[in-house]
Amino acid sequence: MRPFVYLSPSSLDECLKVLGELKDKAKIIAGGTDLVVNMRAETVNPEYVVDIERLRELRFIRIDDGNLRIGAATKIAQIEGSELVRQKAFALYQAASQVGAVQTRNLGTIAGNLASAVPSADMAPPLIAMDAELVVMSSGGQRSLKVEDLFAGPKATVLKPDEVITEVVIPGTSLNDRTWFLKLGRRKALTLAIVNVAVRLRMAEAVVREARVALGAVAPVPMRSRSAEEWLVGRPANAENFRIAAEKAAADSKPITDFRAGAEYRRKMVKVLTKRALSACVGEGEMA
Amino acid sequence: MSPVIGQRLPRHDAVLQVTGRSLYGEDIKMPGMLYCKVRRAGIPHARLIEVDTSAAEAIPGVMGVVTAKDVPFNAFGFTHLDQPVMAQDKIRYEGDAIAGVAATSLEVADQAAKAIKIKYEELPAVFDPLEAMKPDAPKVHKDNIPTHFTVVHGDIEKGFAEADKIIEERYTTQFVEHVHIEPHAQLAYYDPTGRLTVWTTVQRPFLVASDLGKVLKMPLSKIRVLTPCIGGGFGGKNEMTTEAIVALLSMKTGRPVKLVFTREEEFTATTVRHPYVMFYKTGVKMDGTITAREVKIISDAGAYVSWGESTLTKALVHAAGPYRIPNVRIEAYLVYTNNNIGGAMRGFGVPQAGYAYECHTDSVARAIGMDPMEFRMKNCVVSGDTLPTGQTLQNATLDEILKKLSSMSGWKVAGGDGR
Amino acid sequence: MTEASTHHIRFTLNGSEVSADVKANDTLLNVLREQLGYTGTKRGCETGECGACTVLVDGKAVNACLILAPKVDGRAIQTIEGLAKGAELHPLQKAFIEEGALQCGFCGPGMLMSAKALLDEIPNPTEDQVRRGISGNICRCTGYAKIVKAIMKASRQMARVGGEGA
Repeated sequence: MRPFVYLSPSSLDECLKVLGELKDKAKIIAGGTDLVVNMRAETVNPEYVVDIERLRELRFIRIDDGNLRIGAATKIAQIEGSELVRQKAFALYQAASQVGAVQTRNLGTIAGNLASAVPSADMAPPLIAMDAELVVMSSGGQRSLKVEDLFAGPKATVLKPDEVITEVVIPGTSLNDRTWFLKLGRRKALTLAIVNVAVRLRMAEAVVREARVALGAVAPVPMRSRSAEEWLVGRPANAENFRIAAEKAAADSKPITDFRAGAEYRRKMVKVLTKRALSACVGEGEMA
Repeated sequence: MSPVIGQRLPRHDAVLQVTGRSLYGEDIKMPGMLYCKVRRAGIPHARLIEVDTSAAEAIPGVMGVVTAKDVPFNAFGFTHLDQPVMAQDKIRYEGDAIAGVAATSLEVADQAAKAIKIKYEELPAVFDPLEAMKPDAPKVHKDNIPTHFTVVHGDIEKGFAEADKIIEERYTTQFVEHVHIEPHAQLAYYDPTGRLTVWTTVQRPFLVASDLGKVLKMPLSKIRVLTPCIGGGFGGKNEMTTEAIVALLSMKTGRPVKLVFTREEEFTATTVRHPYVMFYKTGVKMDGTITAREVKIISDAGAYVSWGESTLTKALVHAAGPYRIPNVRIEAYLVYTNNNIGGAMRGFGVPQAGYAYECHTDSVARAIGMDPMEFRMKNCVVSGDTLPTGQTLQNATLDEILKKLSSMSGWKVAGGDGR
Repeated sequence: MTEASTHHIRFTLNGSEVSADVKANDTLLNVLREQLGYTGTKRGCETGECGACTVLVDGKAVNACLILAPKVDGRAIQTIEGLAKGAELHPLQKAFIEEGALQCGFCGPGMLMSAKALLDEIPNPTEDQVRRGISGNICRCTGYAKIVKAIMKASRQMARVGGEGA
């Protein structure tokens, strides 16, 4: 690990000011589970490292105006253990419980998992499926950004160097919907996804009214399968429609072959996981 | 009742282990100790023209640098003296050591190792042992086949002529890295009286001592190799790696010198299980009698022989399988490539062969429509049988094991479908 | 090249106050092993994959190799050296010995610290919870079955002792 200057601002305001001054000389650290690994490998070599882990302003899970708001520096383990998340955003709970292992979940944060922009990031598909937005701040002000629009490519985001994610907001409209997350890795724990899938369904009398199908690790960035979503909306929630939607999701995916899995296998698994996730959203008796 | 056999006894060092007081390789320290980093080749095949260490030596905190020029006798190996302590005029795989640096901190040592300039002319590399056997393949050493064995038993032509069916198959196995959780760690101290003490995480301290004696041209009476607790080995810590580099640095600086491999080095610069390509051909009668078996094994040695010959002989002895076969021919080739060095790993060559001959046995049974278990029971060796290598078996119990396995697993032999 | 910033940090280590001068690019693992001489915590991969360096920070199991040293200022750290109370072994340590849950022993310190964090949070875990609790610790001698058995045994023993005390 190359030398750098470590800064630990005591407030969010101070943090934004520091980032505004240092711009691309600085990297933000929260849990460090990605950054420290990359700095050790010397693939990322910042002059300054700005720590947001201790900023209390960034650590909370609460319902506010009907929306579920999660502070950026909230640990994945806290999300996994939150009864609120489990009740209101089940897929996010499922994803949180499958990130890395106990130790990395105790260190890693929700925004860190997103900002690292690894195509397989487990927090991305459920948040995309739930139309989550990010509050992004800099010394110049704040803006909101859909999670779906955060990613610019593998390990790249649209965030400017002086910007920091401060909050993840899941809109209240998604909180009563059925959601489900599934991950396929080479092992059951401590593994990156070969494919991960999150779905959200809103139903009325066994007919799908709104649908989201979000896929991870099968494209340069976490993505939505719009053709699967379009197929589902207005159609009865049944095995045949789920099968067709899953096929459309597989067709939309753009997987690559790497050491974890081949493209063809990934594509097949998109189909399997999407179908299973959709079916899991709907109880046996509720199928059309 | 025996005081030991069949009893659950706590490990001798269990209390030390659970309290964190067991001393493993990296836990050993000495006052005044320097930190070592080894500069690796990073390319698979090249003619080494020049190693320029001047920039590294100029870095404050660097106390010593060694290269091949500093090695009194630059070759070692268990059966073949083909491996240099540090590459001399040729680079044969990415993990080849080029130079060693000793510095006052690990950070400086790392910086200095990176500052060493290597001038080389890249050569075409060969990564597939079958390719490497061809006459026009890039030459890793003078001859790409350092060793070759043949076992002949009975009359193979006659055996195949008697067969109702002949089944031919090809099996391959892959590289396997041991991934002991503890990386290799070494600490060498050449004391003022001229004695060398090396603490190193090896399973064979006396082999390392003898190799050190050879490459350093020192009498064994002056060399002491000590092994701390070993954090897993599985065969991955079975040979000398960089102990001589650390020792030379201690000689040069007069200080104790310590080296710990990174996890990356564990993957790129230590031994792996040899990948094998295995061709099996078996002649069988419809009643299940095996008449002949021909086996050809090609073992990917990687850049140096290391344990390649020893593991291959073991595979060779097992290659026909524990079955009664009157006519056998086994050929085994060890082949150099520009891959990682193959070494010892749990089973020592046998798992590769076992995987092939047992899968092949199923295929042969299926080809004649016989239950694989019944086929094995019919053909398994019993006491008094002679193996292709000429060994006559005593106390062979495979038939009993197969019977027990069948009943334990509920395998129905008579009329079973084999699955 | 930038000079690393240095930081004077104070934290509790196994209940005792300690202080250290650390560099920004030091990890907690290095500070424990190299500066403070606590070599019970093991270095296996330095990328958060093996769990050999597991320690507890404010009661939570974490990989010491992934934590920048300045970050632990003011925290409470527990390592394997603090698991026993003097000569009296922790029930987990006793159970590991009795069940033979160690072979080479290198994963042991990390495994025991993960197990401690688990039992502190869930005193009576199911086998599945135990397996999840140690899923960030790799054992290559593959003694998982015995390790799981030992943790279950320790949890039963601790419940018994706790019950008697209550």
